[in-house]
Amino acid sequence: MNRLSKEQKKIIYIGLILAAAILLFIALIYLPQQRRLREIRDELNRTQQQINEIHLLTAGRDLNEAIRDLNLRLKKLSDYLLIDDKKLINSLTDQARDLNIDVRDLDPGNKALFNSATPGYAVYALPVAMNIKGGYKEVGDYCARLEGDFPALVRIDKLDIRGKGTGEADLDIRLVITAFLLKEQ
Amino acid sequence: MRWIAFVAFLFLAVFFIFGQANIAARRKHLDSVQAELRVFSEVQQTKYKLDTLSNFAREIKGRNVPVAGLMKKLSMSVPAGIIFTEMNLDFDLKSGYINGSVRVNEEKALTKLVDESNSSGFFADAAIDILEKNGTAEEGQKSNFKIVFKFP
Repeated sequence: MNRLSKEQKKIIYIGLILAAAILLFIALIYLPQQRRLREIRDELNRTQQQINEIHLLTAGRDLNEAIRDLNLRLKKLSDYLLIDDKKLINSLTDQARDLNIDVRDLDPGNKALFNSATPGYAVYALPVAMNIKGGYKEVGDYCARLEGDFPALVRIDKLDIRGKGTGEADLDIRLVITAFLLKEQ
Repeated sequence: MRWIAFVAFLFLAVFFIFGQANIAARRKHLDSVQAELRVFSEVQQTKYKLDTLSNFAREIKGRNVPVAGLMKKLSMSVPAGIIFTEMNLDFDLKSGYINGSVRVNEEKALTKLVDESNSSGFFADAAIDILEKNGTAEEGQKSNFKIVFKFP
């Protein structure tokens, strides 16, 4: 069997050392570098995507104008949803009076936390029972207002209309609604 | 041999420096893009709040039965001769009833009202629950009725 010369052994050792150095370089430097690069690239893509979404929101308008418009819309919606109990009761009676409906009594119940996924806001449900007197058409118009332009978010839960069946305009009506009041947390 | 080792070392060093420079350049780009995003974040926060509130209002309104529309439809469907004395709508229980009276021999109008209610889309399973004659011949005989229904 041929024995390796001193020179050949030297070449093999250096070759092995070089191979080990390359492997160490790949494991300790190249792969971590690639991982960091990938992380930065992903973060960059995410950020760029968020910026693009914001650009879409502004719809090509000036940023200040877009912010003003969004704030205006937010204020309108907040005024509608972030209403307090007193303002709600006043609105219920004012709107009824406006339609010549006689509010005999109005009984707000206990406000309870409403289970809703609305991050940043606490939602309270306030039941309100009303005994009113008025005509069928007026009550229909009142319900239309509650469902439409009423300055608070309300849901009609119960409606009971009683009359003598003679087509009179002063029907006895019991109306139970739930108002949803939001508070910023 | 020494030269080969030197070239290999040089190659790895250049590779390392190039990698670090690449990372630094992308990091710098990311920083500038993130700075841009911070400027825009007011828009994003306002939009997020707006979406949250809009979704909530839409969710609540979506669950509601349109009461005004229902009342209007009902008043238009009632044939002559039928008189309501009570109308009870319970949207929590998704059910209701109507009490009233109809002139004797005009009960067909009641069936028509029930059929129209069922096809209106506002009511489901409307049916005559009670129908009984009432009053004397001199007073003009009437039938009292009770219609029960559910909300779809």
